Order: sequence, then structure tokens, then C-alpha cells
Amino acid sequence: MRLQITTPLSVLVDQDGVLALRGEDETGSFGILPGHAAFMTSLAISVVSWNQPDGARRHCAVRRGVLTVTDGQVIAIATREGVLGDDLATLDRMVLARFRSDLETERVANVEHARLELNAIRQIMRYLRADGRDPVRFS
Amino acid sequence: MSGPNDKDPLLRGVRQRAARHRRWLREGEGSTAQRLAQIGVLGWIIVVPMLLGIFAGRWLDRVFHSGLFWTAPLLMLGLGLGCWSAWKWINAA
Repeated sequence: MRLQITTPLSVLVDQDGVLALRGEDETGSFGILPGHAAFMTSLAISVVSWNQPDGARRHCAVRRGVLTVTDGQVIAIATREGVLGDDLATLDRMVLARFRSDLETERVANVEHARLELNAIRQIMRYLRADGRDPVRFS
Repeated sequence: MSGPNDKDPLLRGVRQRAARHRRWLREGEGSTAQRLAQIGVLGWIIVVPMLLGIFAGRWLDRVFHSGLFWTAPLLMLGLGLGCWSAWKWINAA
């Protein structure tokens, strides 16, 4: 089976040869094997796990999402947020690390935003001065 | 840092599932005999006091030559005791 996990900003997983997948919706846990009937469900805040052809098991923590199975061969999951991991026992640490890096990214973005704003204001003031009019006064 | 994050449902969900997985690795699937024993205990809790009541009643009746005078009430007493302890066992479990 082919598995695709996407978030609004990125494609987390796009791989062939998935042997089996387990997910969880409001009614509980369920499994998908190749040849499953067309299926669509809304995932809970949970962990999706699947078996790779080499026998390894991978996991992805998802913050809700929509899972569809088409043709019994393609599983697509669209989620708001997903964190990948190879081990269920350490997945919580990876989620925490993700939170931390998200916060860091946000902080950097805020700084950049402020700088952009200042530059824009400076640009406007320079333009107004060059135009020969009175410079805009800021208290 | 970890304060507000600990309440995040995603993190809690992941931790809960990891704990379940660890427990499954540790305890595995309970054997059939284990399950039967769990179910059987409830039956025995009720039956054993009744049997004790019957045996005690039969003995007293044989000693006093009193027919069913002791057997019947002790059987009922055993039933009551068994049901009461079964109730307590279920509530505790």
C-alpha cells in the first residue's frame, strides 16, 4: 500500500510498500490491510502506526486529521500536525522537541516581522523626505 | 517550558499510548486459563459459602436428628454471604 501523510505545510510521509496500518478514530482503534474497502474517517488525537516492508514499525502522532483509503492501495492522511518517530517510547520526547522548535521558529518570525515593519517605516520616511515635503514627525 | 505543554492533548495522547504499549510488552496477552480463573472466582465466591453451609447443616442435623432444621437456613445464610462478598469483590475489581 502507499501511505501519504500531509500537513498544511509539508508532506511528512510518502512511501510505498506499507504492509499494515493502525489508526484510531472516535470509535476506537482500527487496522487497514491491502485491499481494504474504500474508507474515510476522522482521526482522533492519537498515534498512527504502520509496518514497513523491512519489518520496522513507524509511528506518527497526529493532531486529528482525515484518513482515506482508495482502491485498497492508497492511504492518505491529512492532519493539522504530525510528529514522526521510530519508537513509541520516545515519541513523546520528539513531540516536546517539536513544540520547542515551533516556539523558537515563532520567536524568530516575530523578530523578523518587527524588523520588516521598521524597515518599511524607514523607507516611507526616506521617500517622503526625498519628495521635498515635511518629514513625518513621530513623537 | 514543560508546564503548559504537559496539558497538550497530543502529548498526553502519545504518552498514554506509549504507556499502554509498555504494559502490553510487560504483561502480554492474558492466557485463556487466566481469564477463566478470573471468571471462575466469581462463581466460587458464591458457591463455596453455600457448600460450607450445607455441610455444616448436614452435620448439625445428623448430630441432633432434626431433619432439615439446620441445613436449609445455613444454605440460605451461605447464599447471602456469598452474594454479599461477590458484590464487594466486583466493586473492588
